[in-house]
Amino acid sequence: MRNSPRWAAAVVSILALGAIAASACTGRASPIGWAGARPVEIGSRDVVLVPHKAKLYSLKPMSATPNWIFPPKDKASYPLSEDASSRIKDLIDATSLESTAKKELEQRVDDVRLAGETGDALNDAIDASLATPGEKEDIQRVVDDAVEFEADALKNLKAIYGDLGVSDDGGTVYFTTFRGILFALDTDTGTARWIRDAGDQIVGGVAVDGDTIFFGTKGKKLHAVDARSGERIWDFEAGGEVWATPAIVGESLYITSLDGAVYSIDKATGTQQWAFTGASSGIAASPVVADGVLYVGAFDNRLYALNAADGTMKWSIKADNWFWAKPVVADGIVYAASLDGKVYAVRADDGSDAWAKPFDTGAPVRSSPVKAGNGLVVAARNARLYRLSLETGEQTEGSPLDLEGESKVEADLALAGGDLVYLVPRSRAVWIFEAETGLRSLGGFPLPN
Amino acid sequence: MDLIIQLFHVALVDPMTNVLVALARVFGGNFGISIIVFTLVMRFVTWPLTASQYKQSKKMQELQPRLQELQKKYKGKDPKKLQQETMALYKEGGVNPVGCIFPMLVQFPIWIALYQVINVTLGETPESFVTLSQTLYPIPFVHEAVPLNNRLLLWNLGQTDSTYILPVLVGVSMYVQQKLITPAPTAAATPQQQQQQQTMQMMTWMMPAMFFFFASSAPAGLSVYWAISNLSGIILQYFYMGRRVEWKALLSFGPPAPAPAVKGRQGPPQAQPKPAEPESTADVTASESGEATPSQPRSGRRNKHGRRRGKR
Repeated sequence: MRNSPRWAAAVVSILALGAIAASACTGRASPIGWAGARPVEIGSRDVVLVPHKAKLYSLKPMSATPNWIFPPKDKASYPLSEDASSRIKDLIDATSLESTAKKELEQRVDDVRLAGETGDALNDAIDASLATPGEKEDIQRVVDDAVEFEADALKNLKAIYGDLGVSDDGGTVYFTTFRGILFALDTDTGTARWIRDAGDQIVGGVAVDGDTIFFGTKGKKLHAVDARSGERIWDFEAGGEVWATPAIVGESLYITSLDGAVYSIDKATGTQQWAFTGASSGIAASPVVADGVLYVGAFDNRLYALNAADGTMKWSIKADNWFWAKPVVADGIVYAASLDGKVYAVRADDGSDAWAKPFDTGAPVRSSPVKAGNGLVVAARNARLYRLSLETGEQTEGSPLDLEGESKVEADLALAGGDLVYLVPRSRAVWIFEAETGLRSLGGFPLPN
Repeated sequence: MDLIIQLFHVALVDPMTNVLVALARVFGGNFGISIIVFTLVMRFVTWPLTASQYKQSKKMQELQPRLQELQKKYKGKDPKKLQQETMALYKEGGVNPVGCIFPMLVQFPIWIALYQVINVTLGETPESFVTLSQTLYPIPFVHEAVPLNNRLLLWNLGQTDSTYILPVLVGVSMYVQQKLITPAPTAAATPQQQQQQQTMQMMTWMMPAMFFFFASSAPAGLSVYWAISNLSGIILQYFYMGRRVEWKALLSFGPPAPAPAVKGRQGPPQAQPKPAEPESTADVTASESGEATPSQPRSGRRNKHGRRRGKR
């Protein structure tokens, strides 16, 4: 028994190693997604678009009642995109068939769904109607390719991280997926207008400017795409991966990159106007431009203010960890939350402190805050919501709101109607708060599966 | 369990993450070079353990004849006495019976930690970046190192190697290392010892095979660590053993040759030193380097099944 302590130590060591090994067996983290909600007005109707992980919900306001859910559970009821249908119809129209036969085939195109036999039925009908082998095979190949690509695109979205883009009339929502697929959906029905494969994974969101949309990829590219057709207009190659949503002001487009640069690009041609390379680390945060100044935080723990006209630096401030949240600019003050858990308020003119001291949430802040009334609403990653006085940085409510049952919050906050704040946590729910004068929870609504 | 994992992170994963990120920054942001340098540093740091492993292995071989004597003397008669005498012999010879596996046990937490470091540091999801931000120490030098270059030659170090070059390199290099370190069997091994020897020889295959599969499913960065660790181990062993290695023995896929893979530094293994104690060298001749060699002719010896064993 003289060796008992040694053996006991060995057994404890083996158990400890086993526990550590078990913890390692959890494998690599899968992408989860953290896109924020987006209230949209479609004509006279209001909806709230809520991305969660790899799904996009269209909800009735102040509820979790869905208008539609994308991707749908039943792909057999989901039609081919408008773009693919249109291309097939154009091919049919170009044949020598009589107009009645063409109409019959075109009707069948409208019936094609992404699962089931409808695609084959259309091809059989094409086979029976057209006599020229080459001609019918060309159309059949387009049908097969379109059904296969779109069904596959809906199968695994992986995650949605980037801001949703919405057309000026609210009729189309554009969004990117981590897998690298770009979707344009009818906001009213959730059906696809077009679907495109960007060729690289995507973290950033979509910026909309009239008939053109812009988004960046992990393939170091910024793409300009025709909003109506999904066709590429131009590409811009950055020095690193582009994880942020571009900001558009006038004729310029501003993007950030993991190479640590901020680029100003002519939005019409895709040519570079200037590049700021003063950051000593990568930049994943989206920039904000106000009154001719671009504000953006970086992984070198700094928040930069750059002249939007030429990219020269006005000032920078330093935090204790990275900046990833998008800053808020209001009344000459820049509010920026950092992964060090603090919220900084500095004067836009010179970067001097606007508050006596930064407000410390005690947990990292990844979510971009929003200004509601005279308060700044901030969500810390540990699922605590704060409302801070814009003037002093003190809590207007005295204490934060704990989101009961929630573990993590990383998605940007969204403001609807100037007073409602939408928050999408990691769990399958959407939280709504009244935040114009105080901070009151209207509840956490579980999203349908 | 949570406490153990937390301690493990604070004591090993977090420091390793920061060291590797800092090294990467030193080497132009390349995480691959950082892993290679880290591996070599670990080899250097654990060299006393590795050297001790070699020494222990040799000492065990030297004690084999006397152990056999003890077994003959007490086996089936007085097991308790046998155990006591065995332990006394180990003590006298300065041998720790489990000392050989200690370097392996030390490596094990490092592998697990490195796996977790790679997942966090080279993770491609935005969530892993947020986790990394909370793992890095508040030192500008490491904070500003992100993002890291995760490429090394053909490989994305954060993903599995689809070319299978690294898993093969890991498997082959580990096989060579195992072959070099596994002692040759003694001539008068008892059935029990023969079984032990067969197990050891089986391990020369099992370990590389296992590590081939690990490397096939682990991030390439971990495979780089294993491969560099094995290759540097082979080089160290080569020099430690006086640059005398029987490379041909690596190609013997069957039961091993009974003769040592390494010759003594001060004379041929066939040399028959004068036995200090008759019972200690009754069946085996120990070379200067500590490797045991059979005193009977090497070729033509047959195992218990009557098959010829590892003709050299």
